[in-house]
Amino acid sequence: MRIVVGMSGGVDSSVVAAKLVEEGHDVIGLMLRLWSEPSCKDNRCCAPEAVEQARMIAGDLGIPFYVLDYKQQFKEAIVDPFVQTYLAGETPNPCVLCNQKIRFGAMMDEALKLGADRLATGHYAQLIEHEAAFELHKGADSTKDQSYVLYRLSQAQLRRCLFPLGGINKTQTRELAAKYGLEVASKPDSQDLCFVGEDGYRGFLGRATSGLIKPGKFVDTDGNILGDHHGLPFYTVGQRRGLGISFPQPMYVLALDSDQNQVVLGKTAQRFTQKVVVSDLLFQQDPEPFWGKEISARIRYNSSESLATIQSHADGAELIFNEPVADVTPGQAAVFYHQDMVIGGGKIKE
Amino acid sequence: MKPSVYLDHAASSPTDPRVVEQMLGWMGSANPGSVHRSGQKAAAALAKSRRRTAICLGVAPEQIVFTSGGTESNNLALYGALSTGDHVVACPTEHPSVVNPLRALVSSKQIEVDWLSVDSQGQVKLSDIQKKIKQNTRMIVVQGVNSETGAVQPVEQIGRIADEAGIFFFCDAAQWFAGNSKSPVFLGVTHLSLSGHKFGGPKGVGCLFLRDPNQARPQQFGGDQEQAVRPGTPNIPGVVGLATALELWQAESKERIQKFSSLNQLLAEQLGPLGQAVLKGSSPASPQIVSFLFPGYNAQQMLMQLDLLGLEVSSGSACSLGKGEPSAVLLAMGVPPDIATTVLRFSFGPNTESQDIRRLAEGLRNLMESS
Repeated sequence: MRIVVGMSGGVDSSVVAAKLVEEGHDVIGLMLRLWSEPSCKDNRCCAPEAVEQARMIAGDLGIPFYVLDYKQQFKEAIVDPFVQTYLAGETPNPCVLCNQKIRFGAMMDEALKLGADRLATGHYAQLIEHEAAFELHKGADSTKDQSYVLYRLSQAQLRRCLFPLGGINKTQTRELAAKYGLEVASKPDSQDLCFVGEDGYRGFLGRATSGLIKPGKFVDTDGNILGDHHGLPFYTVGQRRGLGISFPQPMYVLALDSDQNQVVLGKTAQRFTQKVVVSDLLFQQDPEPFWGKEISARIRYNSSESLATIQSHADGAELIFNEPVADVTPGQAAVFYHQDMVIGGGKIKE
Repeated sequence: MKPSVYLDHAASSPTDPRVVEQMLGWMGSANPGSVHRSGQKAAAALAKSRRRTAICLGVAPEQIVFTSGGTESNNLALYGALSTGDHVVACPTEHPSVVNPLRALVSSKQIEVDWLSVDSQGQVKLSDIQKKIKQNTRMIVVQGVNSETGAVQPVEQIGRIADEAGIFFFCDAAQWFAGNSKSPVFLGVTHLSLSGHKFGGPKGVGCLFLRDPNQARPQQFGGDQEQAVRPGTPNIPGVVGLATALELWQAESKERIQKFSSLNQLLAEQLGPLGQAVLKGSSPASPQIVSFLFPGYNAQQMLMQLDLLGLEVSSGSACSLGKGEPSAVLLAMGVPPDIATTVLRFSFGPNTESQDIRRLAEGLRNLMESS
């Protein structure tokens, strides 16, 4: 089988490439050059060190390796909407969008044009073929599971994906790297966005939106003014530190009101909610059997799921959680699971 | 898989085995600056290489400065000659190793550059050059052969203009020898650069002809090697290789150019129905380089697809892949940006055969039918 491997120079994708070569496939390495803020050195996903590392691995494996320029497309499809979403008072998840549009969109198209049957990556998620359809399951390593950021892949995309690390854990991946003799420097997994500089996404937003961000007021849930804020994009739901005001009791960001340009603060008890509306739904599995039933839902990356009943709603779906959940953040992805299988998901509306 | 077809000699041509053989004897050479006999041998090899190179170019040995390659030669030619307040008339389709030093000189030394225009065949106009020369014009910069299209500039006539005006004329001749048997050092050429690996020599060595080395300022500082213009221990195997390759080219240029011309013709016949040649058949061009536009196709993708078929070509100048930007050379020639990104360049070497061209055409046909 001809398989294109999305290579990053890191241990995961390098092991994927080596494993597929060992299995006798016709493997091609591909890397996309993505946009980064001009002041920041390089996009972390494709910095020159990463390109060199991937080149060396590909050279050792004896596979072709190509680097393609996707800076402009990445900027337009991922970065610009990221900024716009923040300006609208929501908290976007650019990784979900990037996986849909760039990694498994543009790169998939490139792979198909190269005559590939599959696009393989080092994601920790599992694909199971079931009755001519594909199910996306969590990675076997629960600490590395990446199914959440892959929920927006369609059946058409999933059927051409390959996640060879889905069934193993990171330790086993490292053992494989050693077995294959891959000299991959272990760099810490970064939680930061790949396209922003050292001062993080807030610094980037400040520069990217100069003039568009307007200071406003902190208010409580009754509309009483509590102080001045620097602009909505600088705050996230659930945030407690860095508000610049001290209160007799802990106060948290409850909501960002873009109509009034207000940041709504509240006490611990006010952070919890039981109902969450999710829009822009994408189902990988037929949702019919699940309406009105209990599923588990994850409402942010790196958190565990909570049980909820899913119901149809004018805007998409409504989740009614068994136990109230804290800090529901509009703009973030809510992903619905049946046990370890992704059913689908959408964007948290309110 | 069949052995791959290499049609990227303008990017780098494999070192001729006869050159390698000559170089091997000098891998362990001493420092030519040393007094002892091993040093003397190295110094003699250096002197001999300089003389052989000079003879090929029809110049004096002391006018040859060996460098690390084309880019260094080009930077040295410009930085070593230009000073604040100088005016330069330059061709817009020069290699980045000429365009970028010029741009840097504009901002650091406040030189002034007037860019010429080129026509659809990549040609500068002599009248345009004459018109742009003014009181403080110090140098004309026009390449010999364009590395992306093969377009040949009227170097001989430009030399005469420079000579009459009493100004420098710098010619980047990196691609010259692959298509010409005559030396590019015509009357009026004051600076000329060559790169070893473009004509079967090794990478990492080049040379710069300076009509008057005393007028050039070194850009690196150290010893007084290379006419006190370019310090550093000379690369003995490299210069031996460069001189050998140059001699071989001149000795065999007639057959090679004839071969390139027939390969060129075959390529034009085979690819004619598939795309459109950048240069008309009647335009002055090196037979070694041919560029074709394939509107509706993306050069980045074609390069990868062809590579997977064992067909090694490039799109414009090397390393365009991964950049995605249209070629500045084609834009200067008036090719629209969306068409400029569909260009593929094919360049021949002494070992290229007609079946290589047929395989390329077959690969291209298959690829275009299947997409």
